[in-house]
Amino acid sequence: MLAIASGGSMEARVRAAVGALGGMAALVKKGASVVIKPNAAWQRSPGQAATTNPEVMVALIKMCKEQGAGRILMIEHMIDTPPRLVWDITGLGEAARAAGAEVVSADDQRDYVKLKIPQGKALTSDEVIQAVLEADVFINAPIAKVHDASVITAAMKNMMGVIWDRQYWHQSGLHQCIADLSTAVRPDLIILDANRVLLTGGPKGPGTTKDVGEVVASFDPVAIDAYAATLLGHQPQDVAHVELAHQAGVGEMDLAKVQMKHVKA
Amino acid sequence: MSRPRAATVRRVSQGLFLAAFVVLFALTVWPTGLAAPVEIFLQTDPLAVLTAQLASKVFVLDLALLGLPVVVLALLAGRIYCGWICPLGTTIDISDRLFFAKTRSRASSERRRWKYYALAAVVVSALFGAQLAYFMDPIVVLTRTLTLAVFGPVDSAVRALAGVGWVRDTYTALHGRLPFLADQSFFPAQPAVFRMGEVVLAVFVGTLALGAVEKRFWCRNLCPLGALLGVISRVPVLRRRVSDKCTSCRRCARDCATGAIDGDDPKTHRIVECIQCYKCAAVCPEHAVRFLPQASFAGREARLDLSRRRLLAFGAAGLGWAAIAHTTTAARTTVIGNSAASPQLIRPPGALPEPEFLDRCVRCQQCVKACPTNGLQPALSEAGLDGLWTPVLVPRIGPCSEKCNLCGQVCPTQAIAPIRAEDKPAIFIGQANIDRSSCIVWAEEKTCLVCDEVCPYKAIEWKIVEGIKRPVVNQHKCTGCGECEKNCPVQPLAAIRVFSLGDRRHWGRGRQRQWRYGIQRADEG
Repeated sequence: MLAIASGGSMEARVRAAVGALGGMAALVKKGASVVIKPNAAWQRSPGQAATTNPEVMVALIKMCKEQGAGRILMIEHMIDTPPRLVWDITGLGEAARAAGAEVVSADDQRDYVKLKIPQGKALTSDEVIQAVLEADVFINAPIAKVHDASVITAAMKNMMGVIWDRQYWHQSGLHQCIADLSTAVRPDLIILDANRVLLTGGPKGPGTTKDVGEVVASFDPVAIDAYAATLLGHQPQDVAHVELAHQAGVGEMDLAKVQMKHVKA
Repeated sequence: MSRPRAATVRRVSQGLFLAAFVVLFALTVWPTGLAAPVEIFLQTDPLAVLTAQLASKVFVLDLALLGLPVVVLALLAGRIYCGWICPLGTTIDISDRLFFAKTRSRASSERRRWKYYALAAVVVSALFGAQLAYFMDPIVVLTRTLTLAVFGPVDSAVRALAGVGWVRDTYTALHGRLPFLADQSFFPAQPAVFRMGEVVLAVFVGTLALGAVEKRFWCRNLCPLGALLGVISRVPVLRRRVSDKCTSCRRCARDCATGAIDGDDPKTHRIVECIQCYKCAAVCPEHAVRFLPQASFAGREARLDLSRRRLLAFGAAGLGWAAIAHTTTAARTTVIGNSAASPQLIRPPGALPEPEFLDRCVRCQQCVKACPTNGLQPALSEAGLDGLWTPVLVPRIGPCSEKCNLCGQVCPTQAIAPIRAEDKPAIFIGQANIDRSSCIVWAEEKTCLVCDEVCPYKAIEWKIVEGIKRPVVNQHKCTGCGECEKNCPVQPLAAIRVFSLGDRRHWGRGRQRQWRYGIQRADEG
């Protein structure tokens, strides 16, 4: 199921989308540890739509706090360096800290553990951030963008920021690796920032942006990526990793078969 | 008035200045480096800054004025800078006390003249346009040693500590967040690595080890900054005066830190060698020694007493250095204005054109310390002999980060101009080249667009060859930042590499911008 919220403020959209999906209370128990993974790969400001909007992040942190969550970590293994600059320019570092989350740049290989990927075709195992695997609740909070290498980047491609060796993925078939990881690490909740999306020059931009004004919530990474593709002017079948993940049984790429709940914030 | 306390006050002063030096060094990181005056020790060092300006023949008034307080201080109180402020002097004092307590303080020897000869070589060399002060200026030496030889190991130690389970847990419990490394307050994202650390450390340890020969051996005999301050303050206002109560017990001569007091006549001393440490006043059993402002002109005591022949010889050596420095490969430029020294000679953005840059850079490594990606490294042979230890970008270690302009902010001599970060798309420091024989898209037809993905300037374009999108570099957009080379998955040598070919430092910013946008307009039309 996809819950698509529009109207109102960004925070209201996040609340409406999560509410339509069953609410945060069903997910976050008192004292639960939460890890949220935004897209904070680049030194880009929020308006450039290359990174998750801080308002979306703050809304998520607040909602977790309201349920009495314990430690909340915002984690990213970013591409641009230095991390401090990336957190500053994206506005995510300051916002998340102020909202009560810990900000972690996963730059130390010792923070990663080897994870077996039994269903993997290109990847049989990979090093994944330990905190992501150990969290009681793991929330994937990507932004929707076009991507020169992977056609689009939304939920499944965003998971490339929780593994250590990205170069290996490029060398051994990007789309298959993205699909492989999605079979092994499944977020408890996916919040797609489609308030403003990047239509050209992705993933880093700067490029043309479009104000879509939506926040999408789902448990199904394939369905949410298939929907993101349509927002970005593509068809789900244009995106190989969506198709591969669908074939692996991770989720549903045929949007006609997916229940879509449109809500007004 | 109890004069002995002056020695205590001096120690406090030394401690405070050394602490300030270390704190400012630690603060030379993004973003505090922009707010704190991290380059103040280097900028107020008259030797480094003045010779850099002299050598490059470009005078910046603000910079020249910053050296003035130390000069005025010298006119008033002689080499008080050496005894009370200089962080290297303090480090040597600590080392002498810890390791060479048994070294007997002796009267100054012939060796004390060396530093003036060194100064002569430095000044003459600067007059003929080659900078030599970098080799021996004490503030530069200390900054360089801290960066290349100390910062890396400290960083590693902190990382190791942060990796220990209970340390991590305790820290998290106390501060409610993961250890200090997590937000990079003082340490870079990746463990800091530096070239030449061992060499610089060996030289530094050697300098300290000279304490076995004489206390403050460096300050007495080698330091060209000490020599400069001595020359400036031949007759300072504040001087040592010995009253008639003196019994010639020679305790002062025995304890003098720089051997300025002659054992045969403890009533007189060499003013130019005195660092105003007031130890002589403290140890005098008769309280006969006082430091007082004096109007009279000192006679024999203020003489530098140098060998004219030696002075000329060292001056000639300075000239020789300048001549050689200007005939290394770095001096030859190619048709398009690049230095011919090495295709790997990629300078930080805002660096002056190569000849001026070499004359102006004091090799203090502040920029190398500040570089948040660790990509700036001291040059080995890229820039020739004359360019030893000057900063070069090594993209495979770290790229030039798009939104960062810290190197220009912390450069004490403006060898790297303080550019605005938003100007960086128009500042060309090199150009990326794709090696089609190893690029996995060109050679193996795999899907990889990492260079395009990471390029901040959209300089990678796609050309369809045999039905497959393959990357090419748009030279009008590529600034040579090295993000592509850093992130290229091909090992061990990246398939996209930055060379100094696109370096347009010799062009003004306006012309660089014009070139960039002029071409783009032509493309569109």
